[in-house]
Amino acid sequence: MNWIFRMDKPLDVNPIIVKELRSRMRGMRAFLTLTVSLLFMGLILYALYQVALASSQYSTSPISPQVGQILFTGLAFLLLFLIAAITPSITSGEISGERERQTYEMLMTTPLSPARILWGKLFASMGYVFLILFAAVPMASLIFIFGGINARDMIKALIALVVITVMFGVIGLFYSTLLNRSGRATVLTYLTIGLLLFGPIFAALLSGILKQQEPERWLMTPSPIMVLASTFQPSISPDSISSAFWMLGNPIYWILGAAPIDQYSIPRPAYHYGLPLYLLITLILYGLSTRLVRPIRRWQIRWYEVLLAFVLLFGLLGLVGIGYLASTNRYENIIIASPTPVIETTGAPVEQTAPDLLTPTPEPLGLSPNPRPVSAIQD
Amino acid sequence: MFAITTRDLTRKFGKIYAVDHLDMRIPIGSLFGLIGPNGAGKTTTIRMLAGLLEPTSGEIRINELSAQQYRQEIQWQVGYMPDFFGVYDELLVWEYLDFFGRCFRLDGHKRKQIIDELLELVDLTEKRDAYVHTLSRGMRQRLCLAHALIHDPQVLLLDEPASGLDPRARVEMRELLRELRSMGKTILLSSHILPELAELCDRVAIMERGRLVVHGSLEEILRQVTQRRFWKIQVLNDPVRAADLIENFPRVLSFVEAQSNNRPAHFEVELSGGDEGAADLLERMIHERIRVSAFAESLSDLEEAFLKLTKGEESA
Repeated sequence: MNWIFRMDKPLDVNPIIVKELRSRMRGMRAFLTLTVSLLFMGLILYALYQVALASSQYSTSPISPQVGQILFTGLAFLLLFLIAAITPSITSGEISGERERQTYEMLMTTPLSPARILWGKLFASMGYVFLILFAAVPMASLIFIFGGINARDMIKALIALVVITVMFGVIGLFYSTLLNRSGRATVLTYLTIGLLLFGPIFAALLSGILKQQEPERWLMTPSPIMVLASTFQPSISPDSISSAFWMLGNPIYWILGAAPIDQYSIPRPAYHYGLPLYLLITLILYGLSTRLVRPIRRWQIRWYEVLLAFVLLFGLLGLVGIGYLASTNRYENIIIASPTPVIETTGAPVEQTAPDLLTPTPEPLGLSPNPRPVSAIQD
Repeated sequence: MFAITTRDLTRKFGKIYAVDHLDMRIPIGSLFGLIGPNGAGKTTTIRMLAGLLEPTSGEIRINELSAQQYRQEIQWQVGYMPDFFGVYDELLVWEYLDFFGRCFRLDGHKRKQIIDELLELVDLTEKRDAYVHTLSRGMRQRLCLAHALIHDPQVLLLDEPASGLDPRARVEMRELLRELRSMGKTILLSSHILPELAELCDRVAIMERGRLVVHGSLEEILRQVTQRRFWKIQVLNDPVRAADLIENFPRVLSFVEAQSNNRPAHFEVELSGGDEGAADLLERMIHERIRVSAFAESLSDLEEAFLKLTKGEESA
């Protein structure tokens, strides 16, 4: 038998990707989606620009960086919501659509492995979403005319957006493998993503209302909105952009404002918790999907698959751990690199707080690292 | 060597047995017809053979490889054409085959060559650059068959390949299957219409409620199903004398005369004694100078036998 010589060639182009790209990019739909979303973004950015100009006319603050920050914040969130709107509609029909179109079984009788099928589907649909995402980058570069943003923040926001997009895609793919109907899968995907986006914020709001005090920040951390906002904190503070987003009210201070710095430490930004969480969700759902996509023997798991899962999981945990340790001196328990011996960490609060905050940290602290607490607004 | 062997193959859906202890052996190179009414378990059987459904119990061997252990190897040796199948929108015919060719890891040049050969085989060469969703039902069916052949499998599992086809497309499909058999492939096909398979298959199995009722070559089945065989006789002259002769022939069990005024007389005769009896009757008629223009076993009889068989099971 010559099947031995037909072993998997991992370097081959994934057939699913070729097929999806061929059929997806054909016709007017892809072209129209891209054009319309870019036009939409351009329009909103133009409106934001006008609002920014109008609102800062009477202020004394320098206008140009402020405009840049307003545009950047607007674009980042616009992209987030655009992705949240587009991704489920693409990925949640990938497998259930094959089932509905009755092409699934034909696919399952080929030697294409379920993991490769899913990977191909994910890659092709992500490619499509990223096309929209990266098509917006030139638009984002307009912001550099105005200033107020550094490239580091922009890259961080882009990375966060990519991770969030992949997670949204995998959520859709998961429901698509779980359910046989695309309609249900799409609805559930939108529900899940909506819950993930707004659930934590509503939970925080609710707890704030019930307890009659500023809500705990950790409640909001799982929301991609918070995570995205945290990537450009504190260089963009709510104070400098609130003039354009005043209609969003107080929540904008919680969302866009960095966690308050107390005298002991700088709290980690939300994306330090959010991105690992999203990667974990992505991995788990992807793993589950590779099982669910099989027609038979779904839960018959081979030893090397368990091994792979563990390697991926511990790899992720290891990376997160290393990142955590590497960045720990920038956040919590700041210890000054000073010639004087280090004070016992177990002891009382570090005394010289003011010099602490003045030491150069890689994270730019921005204009006002301490956002206006809610109590101030309540006055 | 058998291409397909099943032993005690059983599949339950809830408490219902879709396939009930099925034993089947299909020799290599044969064209095997699986017949049964809707819901007899044909599709379930084929899906299990294709590896899309796990048997509740029992064993499947394909080319003497156990499906339990060698699922991946078997994928290379089996081509499967489902009962209902869809096509991808926005894909050209050659791209569609190209996709499955890539799934089976055919190299670029070889893939192109095989696609052209397959399109030639299923007579879709001029549709090479048409969109798949613009094809007619018969063309899609042939395209689906071509997809099942892309990796040159030894065993073909075709679930109702002729369903929904017009007579012409049906004939074309039949020609195609003959051609494939002459290439030495083992073909298992299912149908719920017996005459459709009658002249095509070497061996036929009739399924009813998950069980094989009869199993063997067509003649064997007919002999098993019924001793009664009907013959259609068309006579040009002297219908009265012919009727008389037939009525008095010792092996005739019953006969019906279907005569209209202008046309030649038709008789439907039930004979005992099989082919010998029929030959005797024909010889006798010719001897009596009755001009016989047609003398053939009636095919509708097959259908009736089939109906009787499956109904009998149901009432039992």
